[in-house]
Amino acid sequence: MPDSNLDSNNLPASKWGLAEMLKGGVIMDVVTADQAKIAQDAGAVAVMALERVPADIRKDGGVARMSDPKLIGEIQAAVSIPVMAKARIGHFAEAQILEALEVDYIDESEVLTPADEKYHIDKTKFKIPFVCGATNLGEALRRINEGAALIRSKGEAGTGNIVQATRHLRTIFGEIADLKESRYKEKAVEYRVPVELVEKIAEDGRLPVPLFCAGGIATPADASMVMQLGAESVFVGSGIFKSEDPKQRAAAIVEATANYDRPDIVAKVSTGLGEPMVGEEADDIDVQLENRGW
Amino acid sequence: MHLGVLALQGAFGKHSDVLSELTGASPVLVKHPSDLENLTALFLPGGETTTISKLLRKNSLIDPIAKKLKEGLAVFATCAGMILLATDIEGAEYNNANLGDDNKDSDSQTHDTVTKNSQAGLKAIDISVQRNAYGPQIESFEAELDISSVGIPSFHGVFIRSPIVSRYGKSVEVLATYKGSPVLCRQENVLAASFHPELTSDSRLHQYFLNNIVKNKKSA
Repeated sequence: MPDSNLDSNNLPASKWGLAEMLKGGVIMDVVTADQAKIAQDAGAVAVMALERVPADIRKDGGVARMSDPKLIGEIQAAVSIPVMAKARIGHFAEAQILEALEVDYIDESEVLTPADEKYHIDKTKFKIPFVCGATNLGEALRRINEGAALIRSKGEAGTGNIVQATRHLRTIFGEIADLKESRYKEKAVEYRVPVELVEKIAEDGRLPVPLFCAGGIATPADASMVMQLGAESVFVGSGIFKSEDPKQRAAAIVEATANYDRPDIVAKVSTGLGEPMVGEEADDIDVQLENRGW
Repeated sequence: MHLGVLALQGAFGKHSDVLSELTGASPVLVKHPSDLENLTALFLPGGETTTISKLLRKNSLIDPIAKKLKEGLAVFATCAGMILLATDIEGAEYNNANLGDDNKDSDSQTHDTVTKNSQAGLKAIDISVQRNAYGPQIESFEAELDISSVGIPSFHGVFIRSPIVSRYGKSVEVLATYKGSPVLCRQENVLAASFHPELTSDSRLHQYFLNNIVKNKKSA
């Protein structure tokens, strides 16, 4: 057989394929090994190991960096599901450390303070796969062109407000639908990616890697909505462990994500969940994380 | 032929794509017991075993699938799917896997309950598996497999956080091995692979299953 297992970016299937295994699932932010166990027991497909959830990063201010390897190691030891961890945008040395720690996935994340104003990490140099955020098609394609194996719409992390996630998903899908053959070259210049990538996306009608959704998901209904909008999995950050009953909310969001097209089930799991995280209006927040990265 | 792909979580889309191309028809995406009606074959995709196990239970699919398996439903299971069908799941290092009972409080999880719970699963193929036995994602790999046993001398095997089959019973036919461990096993109407044929454009194993296992059962 030819190299049919390579994707459009020449990533091997053993690298890009992990995102396929995470589809239809919920990836949960956790800050302790105990939280990781709760997430796994609730049915999370993966956990994101970090020191503070985005809501706290937002509250505390200051420079947000990669987590302490000790914490990541404790979380890895606690669960059998994949463990992801975040590196700052452009901070390839943090990513090298995360690879040395054998995390399963690296999130080059706008939730942390960017480390490079010009370049994102060259993700083709790593054996483990990367996920990156995007607010629009150009951003998604630049990240894919740099070797991202998975894209997540950014949303606005730590707010419990779904509005930006909705906007980003609608923007990405809308811009894919609007690609016209006569303008591929122009779009490739605008997006700063090879024209072949634009052509492929226009022909397939979708990104060449899975598209998950992150930022602001706080309820089973939020998960159902973004899945119906076309997201293939959801990341839930502050939404679980900043709520009144994390264990029950985590399980409910897992069930709602798998059964997103069944309002009767989403209704059932939404019942009596306790208080969600408080949340913030988009206009009231000081730092717009979605604007980090380009 | 009425094909279904378990679509609760994981790589069900890739199996569906392969089947659509082979048969010209989209398979049923199985999420609820009513989706199982009239199925002649079911595909269990890769994904996260703990997640799929929980959703199988929550969506009341375990008993209906177990019943259909006994009635001869042909099943092709890959990676996590293989774990779901195994009689025994080892993995003492992951003592919180909680493959079974959702009513169990997470704080009270012990390895014993995991072992017991996992044995309450579908148990459709007499193998013992070790989950994530090759290690974390960085140890995921690809290798050429010899499946001459079914007329496929070379097949590109994609292994992603794969299980290892550590024991198999007399009723199990080992169709392929990698470094001495079985990676493709058959027991009557059940075919189980620890790798991911759905992640390559090579559909010969899916074709083998449809030609030799599904049709066998139909004429039997």
